[in-house]
Amino acid sequence: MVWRWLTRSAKGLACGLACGPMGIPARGADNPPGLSDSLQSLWKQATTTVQFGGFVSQGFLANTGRNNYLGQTSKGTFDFREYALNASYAIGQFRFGMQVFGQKLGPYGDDNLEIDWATADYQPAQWFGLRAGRVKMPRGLYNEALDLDSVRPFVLLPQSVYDARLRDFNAAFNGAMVFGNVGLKKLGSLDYRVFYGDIPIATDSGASDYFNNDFPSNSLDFKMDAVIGGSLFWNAPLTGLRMGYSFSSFENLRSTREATLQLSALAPLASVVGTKQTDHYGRHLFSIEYTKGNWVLAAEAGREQAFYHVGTRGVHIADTDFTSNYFYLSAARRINPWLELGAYYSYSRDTESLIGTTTIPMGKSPALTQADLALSARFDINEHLTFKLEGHYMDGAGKIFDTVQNPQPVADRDAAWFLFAAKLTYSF
Amino acid sequence: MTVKKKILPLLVFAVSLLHCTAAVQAAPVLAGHTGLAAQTLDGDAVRAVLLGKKITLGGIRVVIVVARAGDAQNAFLQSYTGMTTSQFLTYWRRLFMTGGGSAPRIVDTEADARKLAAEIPGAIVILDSSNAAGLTALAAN
Repeated sequence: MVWRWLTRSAKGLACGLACGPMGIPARGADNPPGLSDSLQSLWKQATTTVQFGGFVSQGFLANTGRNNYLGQTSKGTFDFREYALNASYAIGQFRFGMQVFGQKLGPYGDDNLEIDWATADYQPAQWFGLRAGRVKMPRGLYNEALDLDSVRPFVLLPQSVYDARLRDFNAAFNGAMVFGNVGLKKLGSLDYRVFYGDIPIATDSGASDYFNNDFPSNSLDFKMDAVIGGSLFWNAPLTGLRMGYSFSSFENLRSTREATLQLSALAPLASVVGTKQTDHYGRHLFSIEYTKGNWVLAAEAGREQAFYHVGTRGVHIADTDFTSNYFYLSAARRINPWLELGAYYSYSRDTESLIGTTTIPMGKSPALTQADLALSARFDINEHLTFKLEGHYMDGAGKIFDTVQNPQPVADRDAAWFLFAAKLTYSF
Repeated sequence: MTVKKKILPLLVFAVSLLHCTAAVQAAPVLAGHTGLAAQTLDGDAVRAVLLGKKITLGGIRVVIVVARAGDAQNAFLQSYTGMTTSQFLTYWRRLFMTGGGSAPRIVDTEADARKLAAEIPGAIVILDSSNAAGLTALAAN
């Protein structure tokens, strides 16, 4: 009897999937006989709230000139894909879920599967909730949805704010977050999030190359003590308007790296193991978005700042002052059910200056900028399949990584170039 | 000719009356499973529930049921959230795929939505008020 019930229930769950454009809720299995009404009700609720979702994206990137921006883009590359699968279950004030994710973006990701997010939520009130586990990082308007092609017209989000190579910095943290929505009556409402945790960062990640971009070197380890941060967004009384501020800080961010140096004109090349460390890597971002009819308008502006201490074998060599300022303006319009158009202008300016003197050449000078004018077209072939085309005019030699594996000194970079992107996404 | 002159205003009046009746019948309403009968939502609460900020009503987990298309649903969503149905689904996809909420249940038609909402405890759905039989009204547009 019990076995028959289990078998029927399993069949109901495994075979009775009903597909929608967003997630696949499991269809409720038949009510098992012999259980009380309350247990039957609980069973029905459980089997109708397990949900599955996922996506697979494959893209192509190519640019004019010599710059290799997001991989070997000067030659054209198909090393540009993401895929994920998630499952979640909610009951009462609790929700549990997990997503597995993989990607290839030029030299990063390498199609290794990782846990993108895995959370347990408890939300006893509208104004208070607690989320713990591996949590997507709240930052600005779109950071939590970095990989979700199906929710935007753009192939690449504005890279000044959402640099695709910095996924290790941006995607998620291991820790806990308090969140909620506080009503302000006629003044709208406030969404708040405060979090604390840690971010494990791979030494072969884009975040590592970004951190070590002041001097081509191999990262031997890359760590932080903690990440702290939060966001506060005001949902204005004008329907569709929201604006907010996000902050995060990587505490005691540090890397041990190995570089080949010529310490003086007469000395031979030598391998030197050094350290680069900052007490706080601070990130500030102001955001505004307005949705009206088929239009979505957005703008964000931010600043990142850190004082780095550089040394070797416990000996202090130099300090550098790093600052990055950036912003973008974007507009998107749904033209009809199968076409959405979008455009943005994105700008970033990075400066790193040496404090004091040293024989080691460090600190990029002058400031490196990147201006990016992008036009996008999104074609919704059906409710699951999306194809996008995008063109970028890039002005400036900034945001190009100069690594040991792919040296791109500033003098060798093109300052004006075109980038083309295409992407096909299947989501369910 | 005289008869036509008398009939014409009557026809106009009758058509206007029909139009008004249709307008009344077309009023969108947020309805829910009968287990939510004790709930009445003001504008802020409607917005909070639709956007996943308020996840329970009377201790019951809310399950949003959405039809792929529906004029009443579109008008209601625009009024409370500023989003079209398409934008609303995109909003929820972003939330669901990033671990921020449980996805709405999506069906083809308003009739399917009404039927499903009647079956699931905690379900809410936007319908034409004339099509909400078997559900409890939570808020009107």
